[in-house]
Amino acid sequence: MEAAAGRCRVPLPAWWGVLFAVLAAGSCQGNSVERKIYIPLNKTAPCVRLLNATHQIGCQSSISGDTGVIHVVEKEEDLNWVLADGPHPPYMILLDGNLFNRRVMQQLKGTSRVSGLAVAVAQLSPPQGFSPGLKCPNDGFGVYSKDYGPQFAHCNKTVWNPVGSGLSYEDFDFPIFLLEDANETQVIKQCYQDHNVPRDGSGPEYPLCAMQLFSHMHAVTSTVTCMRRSSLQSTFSINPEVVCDPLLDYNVWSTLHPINSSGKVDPEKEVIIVATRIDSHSFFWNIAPGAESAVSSFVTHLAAAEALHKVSDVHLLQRNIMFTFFQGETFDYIGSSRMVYDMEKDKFPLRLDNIYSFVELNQVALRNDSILWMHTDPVSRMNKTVEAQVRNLLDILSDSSMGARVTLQEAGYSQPLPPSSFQRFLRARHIPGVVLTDHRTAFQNRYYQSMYDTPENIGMQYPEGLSPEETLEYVTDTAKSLAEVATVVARALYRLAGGANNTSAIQADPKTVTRMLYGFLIKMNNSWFQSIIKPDIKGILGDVPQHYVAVSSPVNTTYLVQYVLANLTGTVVNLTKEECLNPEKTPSSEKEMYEYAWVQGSLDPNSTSRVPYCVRSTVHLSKALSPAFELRQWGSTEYSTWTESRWKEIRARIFLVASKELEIITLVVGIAILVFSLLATYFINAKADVLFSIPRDPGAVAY
Amino acid sequence: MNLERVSNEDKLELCRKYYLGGFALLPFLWLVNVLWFFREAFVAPPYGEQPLLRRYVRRSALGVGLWGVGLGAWVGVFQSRRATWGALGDYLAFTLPLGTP
Repeated sequence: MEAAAGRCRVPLPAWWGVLFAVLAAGSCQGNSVERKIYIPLNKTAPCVRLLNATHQIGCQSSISGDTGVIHVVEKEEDLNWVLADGPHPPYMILLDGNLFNRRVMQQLKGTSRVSGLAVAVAQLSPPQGFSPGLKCPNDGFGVYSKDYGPQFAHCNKTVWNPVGSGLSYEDFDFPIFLLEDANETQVIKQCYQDHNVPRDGSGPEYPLCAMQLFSHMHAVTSTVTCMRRSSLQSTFSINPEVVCDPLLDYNVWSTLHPINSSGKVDPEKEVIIVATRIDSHSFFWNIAPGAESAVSSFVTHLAAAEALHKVSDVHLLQRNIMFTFFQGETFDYIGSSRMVYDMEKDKFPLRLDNIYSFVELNQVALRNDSILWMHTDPVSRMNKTVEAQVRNLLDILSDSSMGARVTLQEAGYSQPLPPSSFQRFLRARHIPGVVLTDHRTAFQNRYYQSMYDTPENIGMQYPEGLSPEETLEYVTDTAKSLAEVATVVARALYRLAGGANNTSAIQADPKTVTRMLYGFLIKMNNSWFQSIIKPDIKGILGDVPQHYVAVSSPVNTTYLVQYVLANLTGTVVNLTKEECLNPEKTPSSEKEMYEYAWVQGSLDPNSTSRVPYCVRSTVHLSKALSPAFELRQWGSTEYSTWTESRWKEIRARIFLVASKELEIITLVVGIAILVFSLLATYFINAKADVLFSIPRDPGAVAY
Repeated sequence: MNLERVSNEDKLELCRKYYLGGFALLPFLWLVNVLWFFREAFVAPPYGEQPLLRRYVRRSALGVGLWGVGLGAWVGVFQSRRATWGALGDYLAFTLPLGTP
């Protein structure tokens, strides 16, 4: 569907006739008349419809787009014109980013005088915080329920995201677009100033400046309905029209000691799982910077993995460590619920019994006084054996922070785990585990799952005037502090895995951390990422980084986490391109244990060619599609059921509209001329022998 | 077929076939019957087979009328209520308009 979005298609069935097809095709390519009438808005992001087992959320326009007279709303008082006074409803509102909140949206929802909304992104993040996510994220899909810690269910003890307005989870029956380009916003404001500003108390005169937004969604009601329709269509329709797709992608995982990815790990083997989520979300489609909510933690995780792999006696450790990066966690734990499901169904090399303990990193960049909070599950700790294991885990973590500039503190028994992938594992088994975060109770992050969760939110600052290459290498304070967290985590993991030596040599590299932060938050298309990916996927670089899970897979984030992890933890092996691409032909390659990737390498400084090489790593992908779709239980309350609607076109444009009277007069005059010309032709034809004298004798024509 | 060139017996036979054929859930046969033989049954000067022909045409008209009312009611109910029937509505529908419940 992303392929369809933004691309122009003829939206009419073939039987509408040649005339209509030609007209529609003409309007598609933009002939000169169209270009004189319309100004297209190119840098926009729409709000699209997502569905779960019971609800539809997001926005949609009518099938032919929604049009309205533009009104700029910069203060709340400006809304009165739209809601009551203005004489030309419906209105298309250009809303200032700071007013994009629940109270205003609730007013707009309750009126028919609004045909759509364009939100201009605020230059500065709103200081009071802004989160369109829920106050209690992923409620109902974690471990706490009426059967398990009922006192903690539905965020009874701790509301994790108090600034959450839940706007992302509302259903709007008008289109909402984000204007990303300040220049385009200015063009619209100018058009409004020239034509639409009310003068001397009376309304403005036609022609007026109007905007048209197209974002018609194919799926409705719920995942149950849209998946049923899609499957009905594909069973007996000649031209099946799928209306929605499940959100899906891949989890990235890797182990410290290589394991056979197609076999089964010995039940006696103990494995420590380290986990983070790698996806985020915002109100608008394909805008999900997730600096604090995802990137800070997975970058720290990657840095810890690198630090551990560098340790000399790592192969002597008695327990294995699995680095796990979950996709789709924002949408009711898609990735982790699938991995647990696979482990239970023996479709994964590990079983749940292999898990010795679980360490999760979750929002770690915004620490107060460098304190990192260790959250545990008070319910499973009531069991004596689990309590002993958790105690051990906490002690090792606390000891590892000795001498580091990060202090680890226990969040205590009184409150439950924050929303975390670990909860999905706890649902299956009482695994000892800890979730590390920068918040003790409510999130430090005031922009959770919003478009303002940007590098600035986690304090990434660069001096002025650096070239892209210098920016990539510049070590920010954020990178230094995240490297310290990674160091502590790596040391603790070393101890947990049974390492006995002094851990002071284990050190995460701030240079790697800063490069990762730059790549995942500011510019994916940087020289480092270019050098570590396969040549055939270099096309994915170039966009502004965003971490929405989406319906096509793998997404950029998954690819890049995979290759960064392979680069940081793998080894360069001396294989030719053919051997690297077909490792099964090389007997010594141990194909089941390792993944091989032929990466394009860095640019030779003196030429334009690259020096490719082969990387061997233990990095694997595993499917992150909710088990609900595997089981075809589209109304599941146990597994995530989120789907994304399909659509044909998403676009926005502005133009001048004439008054209704003028439009009707034009139409009537046009029809009158048509009728007149038909009559004239008829009479001329009837009296042709009188009107036109017979031409010369045809025999005289000289051929 | 031009009815003017057909004998009265053949007309009656034809009309009877159409009338009986309509019972095989084919209301369009009745419709055709009514349109085709209306003139013969009610306008043309009387002839021996006319009363029977008239009966067939009348009954065909009644049949197609009932079918029309029945189908019309079903279409009305289906169009207005389909969304509330949920799964059943989807199973009964051949094509579903995109983006509507």
